[in-house]
Amino acid sequence: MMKYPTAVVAILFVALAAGCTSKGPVPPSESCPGFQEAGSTKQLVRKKVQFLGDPEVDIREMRCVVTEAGLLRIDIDLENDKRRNQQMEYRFFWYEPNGMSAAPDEAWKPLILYADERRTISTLAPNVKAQDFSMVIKR
Amino acid sequence: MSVSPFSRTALFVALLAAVLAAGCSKQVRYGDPQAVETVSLDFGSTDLQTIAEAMTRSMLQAPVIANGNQPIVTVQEVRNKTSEYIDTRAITDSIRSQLSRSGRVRFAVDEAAMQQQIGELQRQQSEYYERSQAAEIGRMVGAAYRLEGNLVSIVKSNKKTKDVYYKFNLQLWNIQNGLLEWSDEKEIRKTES
Repeated sequence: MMKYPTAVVAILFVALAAGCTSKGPVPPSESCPGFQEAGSTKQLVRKKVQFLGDPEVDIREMRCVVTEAGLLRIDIDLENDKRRNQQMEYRFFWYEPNGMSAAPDEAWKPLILYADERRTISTLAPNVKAQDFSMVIKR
Repeated sequence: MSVSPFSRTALFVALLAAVLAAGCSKQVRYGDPQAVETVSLDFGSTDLQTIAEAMTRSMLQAPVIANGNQPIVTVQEVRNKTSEYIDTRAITDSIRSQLSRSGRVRFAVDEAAMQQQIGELQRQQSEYYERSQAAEIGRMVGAAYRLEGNLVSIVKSNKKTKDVYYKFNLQLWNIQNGLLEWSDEKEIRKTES
């Protein structure tokens, strides 16, 4: 008679143990090229993003995904933690896996971040050869 | 070897003129063609580049382009409905170049280039060309899709401020069945005060 409840408890215990050992939600930045070498979102940002003229903006997160068409799509969460609007410019550079440039220079794009605003910038690689990127933000 | 007062004055005036001319001449230097340009509120290079890039990247995600086997597209007119003179052909040329570089789209000869295409075909049919190597008439490939669009602007001003809002809309139409396969738009606002 006691066999059935014991089996249920055992299964429940195994399930809970499995839940505890899982890695949990994968950090979004982990999907971006270069994360393995960087090891953390902070290091990845340091590696991928160059700030010119000291724009007072933080990068909170990066998300990367390869579309069905094989193009790298990137979302970058920017945050203006100042109590004033900020005007800046940004552009992306694209690279092939071997580090060669995959596309001509993009145009600088103007960007306004309002006080305390958090905004996601989305972009798509210009071709399938572009499998890595860097970003420059200029004040 | 005494210099006459007249010659000395002439020399002084010539030197002064040379110094003034050097001071007034404008300096020429190369600039960054990708830099954000804010010389005036008029439609400028940054607007053109921003629109072309936004439209290209959006179109590359359209199912007919992303899943298609290099569909053939022809570029039709982008109507300039603003009060400015804007060469919309420059915008579509940039979009076409970027799409071509992506390798996802092929372009058929468009209406604007048709006369030159026919002229070249006819020229190759003349007695001056080797018959076996001449391009044949009747072998051109028609496009499956056509690109067309509109550029509109709204301009408002008061004594202190002038505001210009541009909206560029681009559409990809299926020529066979007339269906709209993709459409997107890019907005730009510029203010002068």
